[in-house]
Amino acid sequence: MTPPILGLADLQVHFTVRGPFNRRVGSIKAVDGVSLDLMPGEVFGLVGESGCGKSTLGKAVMGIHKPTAGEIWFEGQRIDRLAPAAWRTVRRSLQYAYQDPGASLDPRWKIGSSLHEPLVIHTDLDAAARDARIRSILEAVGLPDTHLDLYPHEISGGQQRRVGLARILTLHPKVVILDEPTSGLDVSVQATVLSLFRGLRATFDLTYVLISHDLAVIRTMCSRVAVMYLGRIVESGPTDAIFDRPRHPYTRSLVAAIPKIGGVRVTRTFWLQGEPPDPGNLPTGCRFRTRCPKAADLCACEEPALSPLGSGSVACHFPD
Amino acid sequence: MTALLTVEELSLGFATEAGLALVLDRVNLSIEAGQVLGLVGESGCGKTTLARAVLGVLPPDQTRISGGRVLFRGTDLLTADPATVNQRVRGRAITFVPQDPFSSFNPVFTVGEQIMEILKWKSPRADQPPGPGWLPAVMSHYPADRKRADRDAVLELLDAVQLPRPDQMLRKYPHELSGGQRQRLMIAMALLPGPDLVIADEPTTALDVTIQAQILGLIRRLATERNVAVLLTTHDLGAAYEICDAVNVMYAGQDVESATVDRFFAAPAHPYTTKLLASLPDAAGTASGIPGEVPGLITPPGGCRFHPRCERATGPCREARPPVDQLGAGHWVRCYHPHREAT
Repeated sequence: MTPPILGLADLQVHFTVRGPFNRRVGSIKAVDGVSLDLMPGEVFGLVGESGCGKSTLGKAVMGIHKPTAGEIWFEGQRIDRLAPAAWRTVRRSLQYAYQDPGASLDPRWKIGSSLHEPLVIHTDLDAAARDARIRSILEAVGLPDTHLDLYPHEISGGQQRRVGLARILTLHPKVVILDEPTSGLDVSVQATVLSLFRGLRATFDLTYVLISHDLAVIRTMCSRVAVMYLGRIVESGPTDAIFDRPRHPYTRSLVAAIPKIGGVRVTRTFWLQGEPPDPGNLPTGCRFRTRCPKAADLCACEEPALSPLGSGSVACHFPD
Repeated sequence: MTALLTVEELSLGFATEAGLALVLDRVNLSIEAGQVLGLVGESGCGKTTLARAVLGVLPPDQTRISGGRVLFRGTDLLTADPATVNQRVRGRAITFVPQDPFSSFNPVFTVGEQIMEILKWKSPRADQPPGPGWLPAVMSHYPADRKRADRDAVLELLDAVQLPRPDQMLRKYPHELSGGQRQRLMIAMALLPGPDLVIADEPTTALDVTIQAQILGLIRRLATERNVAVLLTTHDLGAAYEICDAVNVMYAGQDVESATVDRFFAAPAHPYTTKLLASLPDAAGTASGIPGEVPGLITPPGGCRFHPRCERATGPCREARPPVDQLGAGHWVRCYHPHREAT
């Protein structure tokens, strides 16, 4: 069996909430004990509603948020407490595509300069070699050379995504974390961007972690999926198993909430009530019990652990 | 049955530094009482502009209306006396649910104050706005007996939009509420004046999928119960399928197709509509997308604006806008080469 390219072991990221006089008044457990293994070449989906900690998880892997506890392993090396110089070499092969590429490109820089920057920082190529590398990448993401002289506001949202992706790919990373890669795009553009992701994965031999709240996107792209709720993974497994036979009540409600054109109207049958509780003040026991139709006394006192069931794993006392 | 709202051949543009942007090109639309009509299109297609034109809240300095009528119960809102429209129609008979519930509340007032502020002026229990006209609006008196009746109506409606503990809710500030709660409040505020038509501008785009299902169900239920027509602009075809009775599709400022919801998804006729439906992500990963980009509106392509991206386009498509082609009951398309085999 091949070793995982990226592994998380009981990762926790907590944010301190401070009150008057900088006193600690509590903490938000954005990521609270997540373990997962990423195999080389797979597309791993991370789904959940806003505030469930999926972006925090991605950023913790990138070293943007410092983990409170737990371990992050990349290619057999523990990377969560590396020295800055060692970090830089790891970061080349581990890249993060931000949610809003329009906001993450410098508005005063031409696209060309933005694409040169990662190569200036991470490599010692000269200007001509950098330029050649950039042009080849730009062609791979389907943009004309003339775009190098444009400013970010002059190109459309779909093209900004492509630039953001090109910027990452110039360093030939191994793992790319895509944070909501299609939010804010129209469906016609979304379809072309998704097929670009698929093509680039084959060309550059990439492993993707795809973070999204859009289950339809996850379903078309991913081979394996983990569902997060309030900082924890509640269910994970192969995509088909998750979508065809969700076992956790939360996953069931998520899958049931997707409008299915031609099918039964979801709004007539949707049963999940309420909204996620305040992450700073979590319920005892299972975090989903306040909205769960199956909640029993056991759920209030004991938090279920993620345990194998069928082809995946589920964290529920009463899985389907 | 006569239509509640009819938009006839409306054309308008915005004056920009680069020239006149032709945002709407002879657009037609018709809603009956109690009907939920979906206005579907991608960003920049003019659906929000159309919704705002109906409401009459486009920036007057930049807007150039070059033709057409907006008939609401037989009155043309574009030529009617603005003061009458303001008092009788806007915010009363036609109300609005904004896209972004996060920025639509004033953060320094409680939601209760903001809701009562609306009712002070737009309550269905008042024919005249409070106070004499010469007094500044903030100083005018809100009659106590009407205020009490209005407050009871608010509590009842907050209960109808399934907000728990309405009286406590009214004392909260907007930041204390979640996105779903804020959107429920927005829907309640839109329904309080007792409107005939609610314009909902992408009401669920900012929400999570489970909350979206709840809110869409709520809109559908309230529209049916209260016989309120809803004009729902959305880019999400799934949302349109969920709650709409009929769907209008727009592309780059032109209306391209209109059909009842079942016909729309079963037998789409316009090439743009079929491609839009084919772009939806599916389990097999075969979603196709539409090559090319939405054209700029300063110098849009002549004729049918979709022709540069359309594989069925021929000579006439570049010359003149296709006329309305009736395909069946409540189904028309503006295309010279519609998909007829499916119909």
